[in-house]
Amino acid sequence: MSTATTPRTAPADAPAPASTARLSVWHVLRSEWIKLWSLRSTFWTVGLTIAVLVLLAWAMAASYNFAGNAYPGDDGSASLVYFVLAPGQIFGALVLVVLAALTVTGEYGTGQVRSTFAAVPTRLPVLWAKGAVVALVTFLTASVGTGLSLLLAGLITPALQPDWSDPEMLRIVLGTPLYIATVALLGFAVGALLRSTAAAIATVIGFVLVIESVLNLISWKPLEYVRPFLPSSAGARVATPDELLEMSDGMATMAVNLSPWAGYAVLVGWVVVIVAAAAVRLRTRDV
Amino acid sequence: MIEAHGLTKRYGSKTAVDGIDFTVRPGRVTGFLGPNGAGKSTTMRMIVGLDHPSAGTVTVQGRPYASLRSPLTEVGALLEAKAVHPGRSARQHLRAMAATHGIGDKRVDQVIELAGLGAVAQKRVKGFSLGMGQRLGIAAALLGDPHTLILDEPVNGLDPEGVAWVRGLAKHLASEGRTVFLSSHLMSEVAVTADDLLVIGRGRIVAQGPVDEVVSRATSTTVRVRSPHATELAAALSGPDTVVDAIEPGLIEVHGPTAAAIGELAASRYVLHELTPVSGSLEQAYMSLTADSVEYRSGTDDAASHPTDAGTAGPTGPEAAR
Repeated sequence: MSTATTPRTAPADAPAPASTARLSVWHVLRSEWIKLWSLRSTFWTVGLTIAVLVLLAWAMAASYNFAGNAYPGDDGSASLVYFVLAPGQIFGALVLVVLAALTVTGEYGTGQVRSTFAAVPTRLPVLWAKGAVVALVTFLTASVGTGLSLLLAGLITPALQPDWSDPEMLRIVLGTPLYIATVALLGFAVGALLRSTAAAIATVIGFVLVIESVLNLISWKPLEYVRPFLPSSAGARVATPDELLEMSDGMATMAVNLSPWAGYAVLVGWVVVIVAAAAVRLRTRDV
Repeated sequence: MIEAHGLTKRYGSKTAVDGIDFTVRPGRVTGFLGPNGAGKSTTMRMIVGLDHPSAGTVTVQGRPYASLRSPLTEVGALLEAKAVHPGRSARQHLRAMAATHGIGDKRVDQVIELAGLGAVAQKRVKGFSLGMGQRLGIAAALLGDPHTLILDEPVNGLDPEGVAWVRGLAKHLASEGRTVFLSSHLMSEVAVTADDLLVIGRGRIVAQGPVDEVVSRATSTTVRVRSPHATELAAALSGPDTVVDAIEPGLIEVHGPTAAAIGELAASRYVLHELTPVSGSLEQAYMSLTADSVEYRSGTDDAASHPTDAGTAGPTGPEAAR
């Protein structure tokens, strides 16, 4: 504040530093990248996600030594690797839902959004840029967490070291961060639509943890047509081996049993539809 | 240059801005004056595209804000204090804003120094006072070195030094040929900073033009004269531009001539016990302009709310405000 008394008020002192400045999607991407990494909550949620993934994998690997016989599959099979990763898939995703939702709801909650949209009055580039940054960061975070989980599990229990000759191994190992990042994007999309941190997080976590579970349990005939298209249940198929998909499909009857990638496409579809709704709202409503 | 034509904003059944037309010219500081709730902020938000007009248009340099290819280098806006994520440091906030236009860190550090934020640039905005928040907002507005500045209540929360800084800055920017549009609900603040005045009340423009003109149009000189010869004096003063009200025996109020003119006229013939100019203040001009448009009028200050009645109902000016 000490310089305030000086009469140096001229922004034109400098030789027109901003003359080449131009709004562009790349510039907006860079802005969103800076925004994401200049908040402490980002480091907290990224760190927590990796910790959750690794701790749950450690717990699964440790328990294998007691209850190994109950696990299906041969040493190093995709099914065993899935058992190590499965708890982290859902809980890691839920932590990153918070991060993803905050990137957009945090702006509405604090008034930042007015600065943002004054700088980018067409608004939509902000939505795309945020989505891209969230997708990249959540995927990388989940990938690191997944990789560390497998390393740790293999160290504790050699039987859990992935056997890469298993044809499903690559799909399970890459599908895990893919599923996690896409559920996080669902949180981002709902946040962009609802513009409220609490509402967005409660909606997504409540739907994934409670509503989908309940709908999968109730035996009511018409629900057979609903179950295949629940976002998280469908999306998780991409990170689940066929053997276990058949087991779960036997428990909850469904009108169609989607292939792993078709299930993932259902999750992506939910994200696309909700982001589209958010985009319409963004263009037409005041901030 | 900012131009509005029939600019209207309705929220449900309430009309916040009611078909206003105005032009804000470059090279001058234009004050946007009005009571709280008169529509100032709504108008400013519409200029930068945050709110969509219900009807009418507003353009900057002839184009809608949203169609500008590099908005920050054309228009800098301080819309409200702390339109900023409190968890981010001042510098990171400015870096993120600058990045949208590819403006480099060098310029970010320049505006930080310019706004006197050097000591707190690395601190999170969470701990900022209202005044520091305002400085950050002004720094952000200056990032793109824009030709048009829109400042909503820029001195709000600033200490006296900061107020002086904003005044000097606004005048300096206008002297460089930029368009400076700043709002305030304080007449006294606008009067010392602005060249032109745009007065809004209940969503309508009630006066616009150079500050002196607006003020003189809205006020007339009133002089209170106490004299044992009041009746004779009143007769002597009568003329086309003069109105004399008899308040009580021996006390008149004269509208039109200055106190000096009345004194000179009376000097040789009439005894004067009192000769007091009682109006012509900026605040009174403002009050009379917006008297019918104050949205939340306090119940106790009728005298201040109805200054237009003052000429006939009683004395006005400093005493009446008591």
